[in-house]
Amino acid sequence: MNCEKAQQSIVQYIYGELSDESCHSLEQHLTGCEHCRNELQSYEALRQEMSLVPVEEPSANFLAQSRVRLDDAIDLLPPPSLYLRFETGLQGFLAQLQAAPGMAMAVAILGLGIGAGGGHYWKHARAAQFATSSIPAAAPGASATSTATTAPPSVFNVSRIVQHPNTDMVEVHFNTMVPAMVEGAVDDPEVQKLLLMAAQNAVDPDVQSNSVGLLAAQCKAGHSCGEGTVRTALMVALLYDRDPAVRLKALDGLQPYVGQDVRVRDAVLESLMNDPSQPVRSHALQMLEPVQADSSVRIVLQTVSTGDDNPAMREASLKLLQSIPPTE
Amino acid sequence: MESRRFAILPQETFISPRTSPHSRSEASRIQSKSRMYGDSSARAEDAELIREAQKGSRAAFDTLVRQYDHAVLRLALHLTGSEQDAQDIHQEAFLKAYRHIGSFRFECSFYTWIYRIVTNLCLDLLRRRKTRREDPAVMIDSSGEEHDTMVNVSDDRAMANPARELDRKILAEKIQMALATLTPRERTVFELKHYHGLRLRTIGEMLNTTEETAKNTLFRATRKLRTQLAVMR
Repeated sequence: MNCEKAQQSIVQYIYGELSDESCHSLEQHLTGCEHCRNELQSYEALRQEMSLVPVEEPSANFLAQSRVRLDDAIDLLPPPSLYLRFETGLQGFLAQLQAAPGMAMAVAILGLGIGAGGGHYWKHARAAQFATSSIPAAAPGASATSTATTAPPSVFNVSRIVQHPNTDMVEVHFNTMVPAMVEGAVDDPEVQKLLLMAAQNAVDPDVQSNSVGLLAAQCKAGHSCGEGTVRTALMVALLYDRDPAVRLKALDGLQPYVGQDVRVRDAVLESLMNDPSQPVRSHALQMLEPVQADSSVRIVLQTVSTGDDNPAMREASLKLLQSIPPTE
Repeated sequence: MESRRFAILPQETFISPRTSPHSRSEASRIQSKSRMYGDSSARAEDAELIREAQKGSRAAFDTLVRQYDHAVLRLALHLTGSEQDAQDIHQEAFLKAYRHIGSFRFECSFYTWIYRIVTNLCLDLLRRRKTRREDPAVMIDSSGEEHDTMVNVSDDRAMANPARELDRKILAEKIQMALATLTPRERTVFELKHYHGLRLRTIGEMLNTTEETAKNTLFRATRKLRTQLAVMR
């Protein structure tokens, strides 16, 4: 081994990265070369000096505090199963159920009715909220006349089931939904709460689209987006809404925050990588301009520019990558 | 003759020793490394937890987090020098993991995966600091108060040997200043290699580059540091 090679190997040697064979060569060289021995010594001294300020363990308090913060943050997110992108079929249906308790309970009650093998009737109390119903739990196969009166308005959930002992009678207590309405300004907190709910869980897709649009317009204008709940709702709409037009609206609303909020940036990256709709992806790409120097953005851009199926996307990402050199 | 007794408190008690006993840090470092270097039983355990988490088990995800959050926090804290930043990075990293656990393909270990996320977050932070010229020699704790970086010793020790304390303070500052002359990438590579003992190959993986590049970066970093420290003597 010559001096040049030895110099290059010394740092690796000190950090245990040199192969056994190279270690041997280096040691051989060092026995005969004072200059390189001095080099070794100076790097060894550096290593020791830098080690004089050791890595500290986070205090137990700090660790505990960080854990609690993380737990709280995760609690606010949808469960991971929903993150599997745009699933279809049974899993998607189940996911919908999870997000719509009223619907789930309606299905359950239907099941209960069918499973009981026969007749049942609904009884409405005059009181608006509660209704009880008696279901004769007939044996399977037994026929029974069904004297169905009008079914109650939309069932919201089932609160209690009471079995009458020594009989076939069962009481099912459930809650129904009462339609209501509120009118107010878009940035009114009560109205906003409802809009947020609508953005994820409206009765029909038009309503959902409408509410996302309204929230996005708020965000883009810079009103009431600082809190984070509106921003979060837009991110959820961007990532999970089935309608590409809605996703586009959500994207638009998030534009002012790509640079300041890493969660927004990451949601946009996710959208660029995985959204099935081309216009959404293109818009997402354009929106990344303020953060194009970030390492995670560059990694995604690289992946898209080389591996994407769509040539227009490949080209656009490459252009963005090339327009600003890496920071080092 | 009076004899004093010191009670050794169980680790669950929330006093904050700023530097923990050597053995505990070693043990946790060894444990983390065994998971990283593919100690097969540790990795198999993780794989099982990941699969459960992918199916939606929050408990499984929490268990995964517990394996690594200590190491993550330690790294972020030392590299950024700020409790606030370290906590933000810790949160950001695990939230990312939570969101993307569904697309984890088992091509690498969870440790490499999470470390890659953390490292890149730290890099981003260091880059933003460079552009904003924040002072790295001052640490901000989670309540917003400033402390001199890396000088976290209990008062007892400081009073016991004030001259030594002063030396340590000066040395710590020197080291911080020297580290500040490195580029964010050089600093990160050096940190991972020198302070956390990761192999260059792993470091390369985490920074999405080759082992060769990581090696050259380390070389540049050590050369710069050596020069800086010599100049400051």
